[in-house]
Amino acid sequence: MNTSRLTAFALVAIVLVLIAACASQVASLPNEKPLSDREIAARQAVLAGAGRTMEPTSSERFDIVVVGGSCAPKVTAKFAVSACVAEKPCNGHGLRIASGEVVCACYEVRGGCDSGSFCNRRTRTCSKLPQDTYHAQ
Amino acid sequence: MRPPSALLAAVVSAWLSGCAMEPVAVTSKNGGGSQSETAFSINRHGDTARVTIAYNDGTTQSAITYTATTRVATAGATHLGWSHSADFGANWTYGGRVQGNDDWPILWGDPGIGHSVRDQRYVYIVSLAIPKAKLDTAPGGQISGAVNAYIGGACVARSTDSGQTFSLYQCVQTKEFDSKGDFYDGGNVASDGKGNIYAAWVNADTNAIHVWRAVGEGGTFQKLANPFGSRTMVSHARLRVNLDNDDLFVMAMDDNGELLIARWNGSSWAAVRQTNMYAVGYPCIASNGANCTSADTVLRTGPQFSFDIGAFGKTNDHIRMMFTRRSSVNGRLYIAGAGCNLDDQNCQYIPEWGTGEGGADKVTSSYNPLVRAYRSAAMANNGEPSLWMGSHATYHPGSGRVGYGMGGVGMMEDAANQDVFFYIPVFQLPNRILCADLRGYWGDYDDLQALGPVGQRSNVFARTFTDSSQGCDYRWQFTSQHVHVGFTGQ
Repeated sequence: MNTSRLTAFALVAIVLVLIAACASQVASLPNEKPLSDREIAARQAVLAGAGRTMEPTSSERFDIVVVGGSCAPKVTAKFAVSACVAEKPCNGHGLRIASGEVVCACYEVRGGCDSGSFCNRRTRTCSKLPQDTYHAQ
Repeated sequence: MRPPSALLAAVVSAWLSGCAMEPVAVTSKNGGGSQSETAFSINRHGDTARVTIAYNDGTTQSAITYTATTRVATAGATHLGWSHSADFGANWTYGGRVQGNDDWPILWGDPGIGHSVRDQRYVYIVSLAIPKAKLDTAPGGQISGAVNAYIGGACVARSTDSGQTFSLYQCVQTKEFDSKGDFYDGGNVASDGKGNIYAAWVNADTNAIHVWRAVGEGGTFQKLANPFGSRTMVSHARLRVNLDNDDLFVMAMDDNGELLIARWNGSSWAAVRQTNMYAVGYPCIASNGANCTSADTVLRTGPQFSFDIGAFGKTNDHIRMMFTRRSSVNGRLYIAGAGCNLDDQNCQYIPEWGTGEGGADKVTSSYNPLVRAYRSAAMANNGEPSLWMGSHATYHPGSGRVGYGMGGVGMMEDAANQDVFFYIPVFQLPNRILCADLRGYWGDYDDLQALGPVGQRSNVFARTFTDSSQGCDYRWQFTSQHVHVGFTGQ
């Protein structure tokens, strides 16, 4: 698709969207024209490529390697996780950090959670015991 | 230089900043109590089309009482309410609440809803539920405060009249961890073209996604093998079906934060696919828009991802997903997207479909992303691609209010064969009053669906959400008012 066709298509789409959204107060989208086989293949190739990767931050991606174990403290709260890390009780889990070392942590909280709280897998934070507010009402 | 379509999208975004669609009140203060946490479906049968919204229904009832210090629930309590509309949302009828039975005396809501694709007279609502065996362990048969410790499975209600009336159909539970029933959380429903009905929850006691299937609209729900094997799954599950071949897709988040996909072909699960996309887990938002602390939470949220299946051409061939991230620059939540091929679920990160991360001075937080594809049979026959709509909500610390956005989620190729991804806003609902209870609960999620053809218009999408436009007069630990259901897009 060349630039002029692209622009024209975009303008038409915009006008239709404007009409739909503002003039008629309707949340609708205009039909798109059928794609050629080449265009379909090109779009599928885009999704098959390797060029656009998410780079999760340290607060989004974790490498949990130890859960449970003989000395893991007992925590009864929903979504709680505890572990036995380096033969010591851990109010959290064993987390592999950049150096390759495995440490006790509750996601971003190194050392695990304080007493009176637990490591919540769902929220990925330390939550107060016995609070567990994370489900319907 | 920005591609032309992106520039145009930016201009359109500015033009549309004042283009708001006023919502319709599905429920109102006249009914008493609060209604929130919406899920809805559009059920077409013959010449009729009925929209049914399920929600957590706090309409006044004798089995749920509020004392000066706590909430007390007893046998007969039900939060599973619904409303329906026969004119695409212009007018609504309150359907009531689904009632439990002796074995399952409390239905606690958290609804998912879906219909049989082949016969849309059959509509299913799923709900968290408390079995008698667990309620009997409560002192005096009364649950004071949080009910988590008593939920022991889930129930399915069924409608045979396209979502006008519902009655309890079947309850399900496993006893893998708790002999009185495992804690099921979240709930989602999907159907294939053969009349198979799928319902899924997360077993919060064993950190596994459980998928149940009824073969046919009158079938009995039976549990399938776990879709994610022994992986630790912590989020609600989301279900979608590829209606070209009836494959079921399940998405959920593991405890590393990654979104995973499982695919069921009718008889077995394929190997779990990693998307390499990571969402935040059930975040809550502080008054300044940053991550919450227990002291200043103004809003908590549910699962932060959504996906759907659509087509570039004559067959369904790809997935688009939306999810929430937390910025390392400003600490605020923002929305991002991804596209995946259907065959191998290889995914590409597409932030252009979201809100953008923003700079250090950004204070708003966006959450609850939803994405939906729509393509009619005629569009498929013509080889037209699916239309994609996305939506999200944004908390604004300056005003303490919430705005809703909805827009087209697209991709194309420019003159240099470069891929152009864009989001074109269609409408927004700015400056909505926020009225969460003191836990931050204002309904953990809401919904976006394609209504399809409405009158002379062929591709209408609609949105449900929690509506406090009648004012926020009261906030307490377990409730707030006014909290009702809103609908827009008709």
